[in-house]
Amino acid sequence: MKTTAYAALMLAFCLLQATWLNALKIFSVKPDILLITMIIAALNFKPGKALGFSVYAGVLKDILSPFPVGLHTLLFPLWSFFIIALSKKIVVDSTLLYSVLAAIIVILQSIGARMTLAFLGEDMPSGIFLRIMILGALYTALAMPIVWKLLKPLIEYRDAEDTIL
Amino acid sequence: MFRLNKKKLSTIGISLSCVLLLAVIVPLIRPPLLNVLKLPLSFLQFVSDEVGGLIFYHRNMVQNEILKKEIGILGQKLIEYDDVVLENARLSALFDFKQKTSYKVIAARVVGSSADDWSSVAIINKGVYHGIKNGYVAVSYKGLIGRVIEAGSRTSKVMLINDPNLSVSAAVQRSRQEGLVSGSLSGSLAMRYLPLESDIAVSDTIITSGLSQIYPKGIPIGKVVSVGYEFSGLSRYALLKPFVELSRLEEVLIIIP
Repeated sequence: MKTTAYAALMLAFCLLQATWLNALKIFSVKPDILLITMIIAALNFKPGKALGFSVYAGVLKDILSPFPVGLHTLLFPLWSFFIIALSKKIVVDSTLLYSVLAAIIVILQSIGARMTLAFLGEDMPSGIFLRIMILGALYTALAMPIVWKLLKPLIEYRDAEDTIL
Repeated sequence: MFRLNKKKLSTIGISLSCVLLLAVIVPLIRPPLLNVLKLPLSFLQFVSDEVGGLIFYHRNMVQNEILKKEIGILGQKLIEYDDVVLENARLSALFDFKQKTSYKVIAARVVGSSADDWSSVAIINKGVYHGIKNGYVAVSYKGLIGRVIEAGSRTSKVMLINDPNLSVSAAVQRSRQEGLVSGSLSGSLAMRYLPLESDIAVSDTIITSGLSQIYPKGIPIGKVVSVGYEFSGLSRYALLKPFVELSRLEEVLIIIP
């Protein structure tokens, strides 16, 4: 139940990112709310489910992207794995830490995206790359508390499935 | 932290292979999946447009008044233009010139955009079923918008001219100086590879040159806002403001060659 609801919410967030969030663009950069839902899933679901959500989020993002390979399908599980490993070492339990983590993941995602695009022969000028990376990290970190507040009731909801497990 | 036994290793190996396979096949399954998302995207875009209309009611009202005045002026110009067209037709017939046919276009509505910041793409609600193919040029009544890069059955993706991966062969309308226009994922465009002695100035209109044969000749792209020298000092560049506001696209026209 909780898993299905979260998957549906991820789809809704993906659709919002492709439509409404365009109105909130600053210097042509919008917050990556789909990435945020992936981070929240990695921190709050069991590793198997979290990795499944990250692949799902990656596929959703790639449906709307023009790149010749599933760039996000490849990278999102990697970040999810990194977050799961990190959360076993340190406790990530405050909204501020969530935001810092979101900023770090956006920076890593930007570097990963640029490297993949360069490998595919689609080079991007450094100025544009830096602008998108820095603003994207800041904007996504700022959006994290809002998205977390929206998703927290669902994350904290314990359904029968969780009780059995 | 992670102890790897044979079973775990094989699970990781299979999962990794699945992800890699999925990453490769995602571009192939994208068009049908995008068709599924077309309806919710259209609905959200519709709501967004309506809410925007309510929020910016006053601005829209003022714009409406300005546009009404512009229509009056343009109406006058159209009458003069009709005269010129008739005169041109007469002269062309006189000199036996081949008549240039007007473009056949398909109107489409923008239902969404790319979810990431690394590309500038608009998703439109028409596809192969409506006669759209990869490579077709997208315009609006103001000027060039971009090019169709992925035509699905009922949706298509249009790469906008402010995407750095899209370059357009362009020319200065006044001096016919040629250059290459490319985007920077922002509100401005850059015209590069201009010789040092190139005749280009602020407020010049930039149009498609028709050299690449992808974009028809003479489509307006933008106005020059500044001119400078490249870092190497070997050539000049010009920054352009596109005629079409690419961040607020609602409708596009796809040119059928």
